[in-house]
Amino acid sequence: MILGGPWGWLGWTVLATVPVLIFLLYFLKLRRTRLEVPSTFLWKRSIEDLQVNSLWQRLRSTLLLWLQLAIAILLLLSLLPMGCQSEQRVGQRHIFLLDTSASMSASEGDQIRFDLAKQQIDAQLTQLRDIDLAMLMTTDDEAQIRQAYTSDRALLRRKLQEVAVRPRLTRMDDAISAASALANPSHVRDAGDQLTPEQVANELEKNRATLHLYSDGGFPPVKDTDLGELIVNFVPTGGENVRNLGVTTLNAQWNERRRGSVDLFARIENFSAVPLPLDVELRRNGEVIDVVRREAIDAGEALSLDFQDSLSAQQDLVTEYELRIVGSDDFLLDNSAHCVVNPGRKPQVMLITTGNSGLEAVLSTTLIAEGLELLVQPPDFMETDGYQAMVEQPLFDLVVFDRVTPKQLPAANTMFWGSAPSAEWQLTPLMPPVFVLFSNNTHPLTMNLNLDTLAFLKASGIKGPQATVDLLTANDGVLIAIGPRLGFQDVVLGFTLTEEENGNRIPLTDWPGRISFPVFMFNTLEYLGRLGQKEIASSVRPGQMIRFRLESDETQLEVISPSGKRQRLNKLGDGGFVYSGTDELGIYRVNGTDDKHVRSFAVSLSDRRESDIAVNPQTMVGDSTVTGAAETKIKGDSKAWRYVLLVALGVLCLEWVVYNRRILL
Amino acid sequence: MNESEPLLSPETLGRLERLELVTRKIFRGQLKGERRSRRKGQSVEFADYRNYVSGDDLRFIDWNLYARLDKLFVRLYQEEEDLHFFALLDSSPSMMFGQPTKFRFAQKMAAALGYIGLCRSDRIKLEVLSDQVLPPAAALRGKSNLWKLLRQLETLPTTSSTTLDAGVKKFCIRNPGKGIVVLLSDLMDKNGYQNAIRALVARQYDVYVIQILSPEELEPDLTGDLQLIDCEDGDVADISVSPRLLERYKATLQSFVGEIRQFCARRGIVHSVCSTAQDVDQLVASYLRSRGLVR
Repeated sequence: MILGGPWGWLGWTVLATVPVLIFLLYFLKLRRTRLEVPSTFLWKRSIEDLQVNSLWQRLRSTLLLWLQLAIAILLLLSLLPMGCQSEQRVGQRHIFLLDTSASMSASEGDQIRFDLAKQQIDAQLTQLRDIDLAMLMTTDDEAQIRQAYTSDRALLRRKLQEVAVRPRLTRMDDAISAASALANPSHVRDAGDQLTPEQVANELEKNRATLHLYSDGGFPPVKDTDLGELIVNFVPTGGENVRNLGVTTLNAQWNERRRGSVDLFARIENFSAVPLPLDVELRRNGEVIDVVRREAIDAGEALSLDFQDSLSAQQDLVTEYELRIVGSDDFLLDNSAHCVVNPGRKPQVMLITTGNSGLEAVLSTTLIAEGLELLVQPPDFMETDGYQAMVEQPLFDLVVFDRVTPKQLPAANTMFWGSAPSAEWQLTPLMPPVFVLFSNNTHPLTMNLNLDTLAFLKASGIKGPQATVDLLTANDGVLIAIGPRLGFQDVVLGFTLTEEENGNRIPLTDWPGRISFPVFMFNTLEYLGRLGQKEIASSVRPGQMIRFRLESDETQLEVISPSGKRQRLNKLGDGGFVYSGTDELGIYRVNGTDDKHVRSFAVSLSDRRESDIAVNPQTMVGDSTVTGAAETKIKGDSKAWRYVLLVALGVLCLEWVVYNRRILL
Repeated sequence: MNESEPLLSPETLGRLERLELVTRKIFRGQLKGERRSRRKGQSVEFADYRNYVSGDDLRFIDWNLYARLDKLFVRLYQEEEDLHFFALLDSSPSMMFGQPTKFRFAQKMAAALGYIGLCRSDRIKLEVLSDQVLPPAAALRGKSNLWKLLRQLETLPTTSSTTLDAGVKKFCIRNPGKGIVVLLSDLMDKNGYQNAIRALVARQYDVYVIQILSPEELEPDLTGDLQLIDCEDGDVADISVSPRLLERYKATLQSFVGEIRQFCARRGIVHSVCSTAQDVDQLVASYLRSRGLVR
């Protein structure tokens, strides 16, 4: 039993005198009713032997005194911080880590998991002793310390109530690393050599903490964390028998064979333990354009769906797609996914050349010139900081190198005329005559082009890196090829249109005079430069930052969230806009001046781990496997005072009854 | 029963007229009465013979016997004389408790017994215990004095502060004769009842003790912490009433009554306990009859 606490021994001594005072005051305040009787003769004889031990006899018959004393003692006991301790009174440290990710919003009966976890934490806070310290942390895709160590339970409760679940993914490593750092302070580790082992032990004991992790276990194992002195107490929240169908993927991309057509790919998984029927709607701008129904998807199975949609040719229209699972299950956030097709922007094309009338003439045709922004630079430009910026950032969609080779390739698709992009490419001069054997009619660049009759005076055979696709093959080598480079593609042509010789420009091929040449260039600009194409924006994850540019000169935009919240965006120095408030799932609309809808972007959960809402009772934290306990008990105060107080109140009621009913012993 | 009720109702009077006070002793009556005495006297009822001695009244010589036996015998006749009945009422403050008061109950009891005596031409005398030497009360005889009897009862002095012992002794001084004494008291005297009863016995009274207790004394209905004040001497007793104390009180009362009964029985005294809640008529007609005071 612990005595001490906030008042110390002196205070407790004073409190201990209270029952004694009640005892004494009872006799002082005992007011007997005067009653005249014929004779006290018999009464005196009756109480004669009782008066032998009059004090104790009186006490024995005085139930009310005993009741009052019992109440006083019980109330005093309720004030005692009852508990057990070893040698020293050291408060415990507790870190309550609450998972606020999307999966915690799964239904559990009438409540959601998140509320259940909060109730459990609240119950744990009740068990804390006055000397214990507790901290409140939350984590979803970012860890936050909501309340630093404090013994103020009311403050902790207030902070706990302020916490809300967010449609975010779960990342536990940061939170556990932070908790581990708190339990294993660096100053102890750093000063380990200077401190005696006892001092180190004392420091660690002082900071020893228990991490109470309230989560459904839907997070990857946290391996690269040294727990040190941190004790992890995993409290799985939620059940294992769940019903959930979730859209884990919704992607859109251009159909390369059908111009203006979009392919949408979706993946729907059943995370339940039982087969579930499926009813899916695909909506475009709110209108249902396709429906898929299945009688059942087996437990744990996934269903892949693909849709095709033809977009309007109107350049400035925004198309919003939503794939929605009709019906309800335990987890609603993954029942829909979104993607957006925004109005296209003019591709940025750079031509680096010493002068090429054929290329310049093609690029200046009306159809092409209106659809792109062309910048012609001399080869010296490749030595400037401007080009270096192009290497580091994707500032251009397509860079055309005419007979020049840069030291570093830009972060863009490229087209090389008569030169190799890098050492991976080899250009070998071909012996004339050079004639075309066949062209690749399946590739978008050379599809439906008649290139068989082209004549070349001088050309080189191309040998590209792995995965290079030959587009035009001559008798002794490949004349045009396209190869991948990280996220970009390089088109290499083993010839040039003209050649300078003695100040004269000599044509080396008759291709510029053919109709296939501007078509090829248009295909190239369309395929590599996205000429005339709209921008497909797959959805981003909640919490991610959105960065976009606009062709227009808008300096201020307004973003309207799915729930209708509006936020103003100002144009940044680099000409782009950044939006970071992606906390809601759905379509965010971007309005320009006069509330013109200029683009949209989508935020979808689309995460298998979040959709798999069945509670994982076992997880890996650090080097050990943590198995969840249904309920944790914080060693400390059991708050027995509440029960003592209840008993005291019961005794008080009993006294009242006794007093009023005159039940006397 | 309340204080305003008449001491004797007409119905009661009718029932009492058939009763008679009984004494277990032969007392010399002062006047001739209706009560047959053991004394030989001049009545019409023959009792015995005895030898003639010189000086006897020649009118009582049985001449028929002298003719047969040639000896002179004198006829003796049963003497009929009256009976002295004393109703001795305790008028101490303790008798003024109860509803009706114990004193009122004693008055009624005295009235009933007195009327029985009046009907039998006994000499009825009503006395209250007093520490003062009061003039002897007038003795009443004959039914015609019923109204005097009742008036005397109604005008008896109350709230006497004397003790039982002193009061009885004074009574004995005032009334040297013999007869039946019915002591109507609660006997709640802290100085004891023994001396008083001994004094009566010493005077050779035929003593009947009727102990009158109120229901509050027999079955006290008290609760809480009380300070009991004795109405006679102001003595204080602090009690915390509990079932255990009440049981103890009842046991003490039983013991007290038992002591008195034993004390009286040893001296040939009839002791009766009456509650003021009881009906006086019924008591006299049945209870006291069974106790031998009336028949």
